Amino acid sequence: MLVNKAEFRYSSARLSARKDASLKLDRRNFLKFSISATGPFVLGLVPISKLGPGLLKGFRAPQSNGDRKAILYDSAKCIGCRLCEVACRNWNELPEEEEPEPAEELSAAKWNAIKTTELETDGVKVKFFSKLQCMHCTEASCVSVCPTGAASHYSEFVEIDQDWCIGCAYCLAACPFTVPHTEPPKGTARKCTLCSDRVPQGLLPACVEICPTAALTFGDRAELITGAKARVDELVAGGQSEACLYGETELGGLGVMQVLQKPPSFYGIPEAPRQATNNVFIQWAGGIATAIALAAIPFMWIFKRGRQIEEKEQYKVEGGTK
Amino acid sequence: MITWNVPIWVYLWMAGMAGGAYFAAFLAERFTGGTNEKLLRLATYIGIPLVAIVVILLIIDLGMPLHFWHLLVGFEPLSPMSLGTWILTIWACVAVAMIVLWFVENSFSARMTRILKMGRNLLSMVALVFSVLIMAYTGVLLASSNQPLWSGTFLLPSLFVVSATSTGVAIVVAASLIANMLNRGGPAWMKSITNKLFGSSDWTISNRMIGHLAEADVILIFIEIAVLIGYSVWLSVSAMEGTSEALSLLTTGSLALPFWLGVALLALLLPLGLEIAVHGKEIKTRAVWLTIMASSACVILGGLVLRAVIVIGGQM
Repeated sequence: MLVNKAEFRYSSARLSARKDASLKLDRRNFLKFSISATGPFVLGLVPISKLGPGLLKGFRAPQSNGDRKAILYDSAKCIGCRLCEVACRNWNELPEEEEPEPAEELSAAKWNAIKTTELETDGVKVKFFSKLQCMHCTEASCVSVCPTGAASHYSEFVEIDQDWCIGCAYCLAACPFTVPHTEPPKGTARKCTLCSDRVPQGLLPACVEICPTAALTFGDRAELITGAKARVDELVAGGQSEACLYGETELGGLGVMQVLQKPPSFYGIPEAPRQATNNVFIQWAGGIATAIALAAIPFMWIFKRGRQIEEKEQYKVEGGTK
Repeated sequence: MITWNVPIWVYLWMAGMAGGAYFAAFLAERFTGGTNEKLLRLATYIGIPLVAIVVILLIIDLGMPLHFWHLLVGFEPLSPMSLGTWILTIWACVAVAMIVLWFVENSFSARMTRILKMGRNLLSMVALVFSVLIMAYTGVLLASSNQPLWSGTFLLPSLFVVSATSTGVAIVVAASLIANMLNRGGPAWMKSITNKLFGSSDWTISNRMIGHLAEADVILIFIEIAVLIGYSVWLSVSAMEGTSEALSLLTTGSLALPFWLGVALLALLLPLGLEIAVHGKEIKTRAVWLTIMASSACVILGGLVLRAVIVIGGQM
């Protein structure tokens, strides 16, 4: 049953769940942490009490896929009732939608949406559903581009710390699924938290709990994958030859996987999503190399040559006087 | 939805121009044997206010402007925005330190002056490295995303670096022409200010130097045309979804007018024509002066249109 959120929003259980997630420390992360954490303090810029999540991101490696929990969405079982949207809105205290028809897209105030894609064959329209929400990627673009560390992995959750987010909107441009949104006109970036304030309490994510057809399930990721593969085989055997599982390996493994009846591109889901920063070193190298090898050429050519000409002229003048 | 708009493209344009002006002035000075320190000083005077405006633009465009300090208490090496914040901050601090040294270095004993000059020399090289990083950053920021126009090729940082150098040269040329004019023909108080700023009473940026810089910009424009063509071709053949649609948005779509008029004509072809028209002529007549000034203005404004088209196009 839905539990009133305010009751344990600040409960100690929730906070300790976060702390546990924060203490994954290996040598590389420790080094990264030491460098990023000590600098400003050495400079005396920051009182210790202001220690924010930005300084702790190095600690929080994503939880390995082996012992991770996940959501599985079965599009063939979904009836498009949108109760998951209602449950999400209620739990997260998001405002009611104003449009007469529910918008089939995400916004700062809508973290979970069922998308309908229609296909017309022989004059008959068939509806296919897919679920829009944060996929809680292992290789999360929002986490890698976030300049403050507000977007971060907390065990299986990818969360944007609302107290630390500066609203730069970089994650909006980086996310391959266009999930985070800022509140218009201004505000922090907001998105699904995978109910990180329910799961540590032993509750199911709100959308999963309310789903009347068991199209949504939550549990150990490895077990869900086994079940999902069997389900895909079942759909294929039943004549839906294009059925597939999305999210098993994409972006290092997603925390929200989908059994789809059609190929991902049919629903507008990227077939080969990539992490926004996966080429960042090549991009930096390209820019720097261009400055050194291309932009510097005209200066070398014109000014060095100009100087040589000047020197020659000077030599001639001096030679003439001697 | 266009989330990054006017402040962001103005920001990328100004930051690139500040970096480009310093980069160009440093190289021009070094390759002529360090005899034109005035030029480096001028570029620093241009760069610092530009970077200051850039920082203000970045802050006011944030969803939570009062939280901007969160950027300065962390360091996220993968995030170009975090790195960029530090790069801009460090460049500005080094540039301010150089200016302070310029003003005070001669008021000490000969030995101390020599040491301070060596220190400033060292700082000027640090600032060179960071000016390159600033120019690259403006491209890498956009390239680390999932927008086809920004991340579909590896050439966006290159395009922005060449454009930043070109606009940097243009603003140094324009500022030199104006500074020279004020120093020669301006009112007495103006002359005394410029003399103070440049630390001597008989300073001038030689017309030969300005001419060479304008020449350098011609070559830079040719390089920029080549990089822009490379970028477009790469977009059209890229395997990434949506890149050719993104390209056609610029060439034939809703951004075609600003692209062809603002980028192709204003930033590239028009200044090229103007510079070639006065090639080899000394800056003695008003006509030549005005032509070089006009060409610089075209390059600078064209650089702004390029940033606008790319930033908006990436989000459409």
